[in-house]
Amino acid sequence: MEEIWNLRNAHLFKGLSPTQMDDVVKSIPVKSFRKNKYIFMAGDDADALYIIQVGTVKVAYVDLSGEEKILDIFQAGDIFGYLFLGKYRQRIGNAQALGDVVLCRLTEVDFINLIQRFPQIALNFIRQQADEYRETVARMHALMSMDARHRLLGTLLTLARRYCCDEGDWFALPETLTQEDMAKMTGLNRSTVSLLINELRRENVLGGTGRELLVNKARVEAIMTAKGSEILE
Amino acid sequence: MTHLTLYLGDSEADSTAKDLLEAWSEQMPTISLECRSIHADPVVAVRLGITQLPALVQEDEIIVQGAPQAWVLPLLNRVFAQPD
Repeated sequence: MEEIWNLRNAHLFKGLSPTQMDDVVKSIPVKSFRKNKYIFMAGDDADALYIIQVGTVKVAYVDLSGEEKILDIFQAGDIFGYLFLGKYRQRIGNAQALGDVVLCRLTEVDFINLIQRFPQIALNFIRQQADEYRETVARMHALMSMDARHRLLGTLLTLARRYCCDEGDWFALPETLTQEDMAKMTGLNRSTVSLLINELRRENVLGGTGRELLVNKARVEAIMTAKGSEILE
Repeated sequence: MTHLTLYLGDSEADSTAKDLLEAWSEQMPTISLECRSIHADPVVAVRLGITQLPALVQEDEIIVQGAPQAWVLPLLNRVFAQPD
């Protein structure tokens, strides 16, 4: 029996038929990484992008003072590691598995071949780039012009917008994402993030207990709009 | 006989799910449970559409996947529930 491969969750392949998907995915190498393993390192020559099938990946760099700064967090369905498709050919960050991860690896040549065969993939890619650019602008705005509380909320809103399910306003952050990671995404220290999370839980903007952190997307959006981030809405 | 496959990673939650389901399957004469590391065959995740671990699969169909606290204990409780 012909097997239908399944990367339906991948944003890149939205709109392709099961037969086209079968055709696409069969040719893509798949690789797994255990928790904390690096997929690539800053400075490496880049020659492939990755599609996440399982797990969460952190892309970060270490600044001159030795402090890690997180550039982004990616989950199942996301693509990452594609910045080399422009004129800069070296990796700018370390990509690390936050838990067990399964990835599909697409070289530049394979990616271009796929686009030529299925132009829908190019459209999906452009749409994803537009969304990511907007999210980056929103996060940058929050980091540059807002206090600690709103910087944290801006980052949580970015994650919620990217991953929030349609069923409700509550979005669960991946449990592999620690408060330390959130501190490194927002330029805050770990204790400030912890205090803010507790405060926001009491206000019912955030939920969950222990490592489980739920974000109420609608409430965070309302707070950010009131703070003057409506330009990003 | 129903054959189930539990695909696992290395996390503590995965090993908890494995221990509970192995104990459960030993009590169920009609169930055979096989546990496989996703690292031994990552391609299976793409083939079956697994996006979260652990994932319980029957005949190449995902029954349930993701945070085991959401499904392992409810599954066991349902099976072992005392009749009224």
